[in-house]
Amino acid sequence: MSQRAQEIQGILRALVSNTPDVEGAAVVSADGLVVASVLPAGTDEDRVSAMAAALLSLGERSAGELQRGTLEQVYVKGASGYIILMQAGAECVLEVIAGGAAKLGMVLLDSKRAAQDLARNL
Amino acid sequence: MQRAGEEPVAAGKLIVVGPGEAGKSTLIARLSADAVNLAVNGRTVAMDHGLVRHGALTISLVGVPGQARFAPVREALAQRAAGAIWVHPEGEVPDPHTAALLCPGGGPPLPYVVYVNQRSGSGDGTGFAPPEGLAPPRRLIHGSLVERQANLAALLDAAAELLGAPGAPREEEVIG
Ligand SMILES: Nc1nc2c(ncn2[C@@H]2O[C@H](COP(=O)(O)OP(=O)(O)O)[C@@H](O)[C@H]2O)c(=O)[nH]1
Ligand SMILES: [Mg+2]
Repeated sequence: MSQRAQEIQGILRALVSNTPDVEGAAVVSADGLVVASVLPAGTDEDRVSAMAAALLSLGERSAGELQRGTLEQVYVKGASGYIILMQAGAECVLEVIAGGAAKLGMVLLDSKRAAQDLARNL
Repeated sequence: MQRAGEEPVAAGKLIVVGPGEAGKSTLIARLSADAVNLAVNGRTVAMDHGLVRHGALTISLVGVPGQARFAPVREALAQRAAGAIWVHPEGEVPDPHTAALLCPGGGPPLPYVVYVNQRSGSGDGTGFAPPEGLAPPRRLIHGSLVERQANLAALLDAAAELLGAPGAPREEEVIG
């Protein structure tokens, strides 16, 4: 693994282990290919990455259509938890999954910091 | 929701399917003046959408991302579709991912029409043979989305038939 790849992986690992209830994180290219991931066992990262790219694209278009400005986050809440997507650098997306008991404010804050760190490495 | 002054949308949804680079997005843009294409670097990553009027019918065209990894997106977009337009690049083997999409788990297969896209240089006269297990298309139409668009009218008629509109066979089309 290159040093850059190790740093990216390290940022994701730190996010997952330091933020309570964050269960996984991945960096995905805007066209839906996985760059790095720390996801729960059994997750199909190719499918997840493709869906992240689709969601981000729909989010960008919706924000534009409804005059909400540049897209900052896509947020999905299911009965068992959250999926959060945000831009990490010009070409990539950070995807974070968290359990239902997560403190959303903290997850968002830590994710934003991670996205900034990632942007410097991507 | 319907806004004042707009006509009611008596619509049916058709999905536009086929392998990556077949011409799905191009087809929807040709048929619908204000089509939306959600793409990155020219490749569809989410969907295409366009509304097309055909007589009294409004057809809602939903284009899928063709690359293999977008399978879950395709499955989501295919839900509640009344039929499909399969864009097939002439000379290629019918795409197995597309065939699978037309046979959703357990349910009856979606009725479909095929548009054989004969781009310049690829025209070797090869048609389309449905993969094993899939019923033949309701209609097979040859054309080109860039070089020979005349057959788009025939395609629209065939698509409308999938939604129950009476069809009028045309000279240019080959019925499969
Ligand atoms: N020459 C030629 N190019 C075509 C034709 N149909 C599509 N293309 C081109 O092929 C590329 C892929 O088309 P696109 O509609 O994005 O394919 P999709 O992946 O199925 O949505 C684009 O650059 C189109 O302009 C055609 O009939 N003739
Ligand atoms: Mg496309």
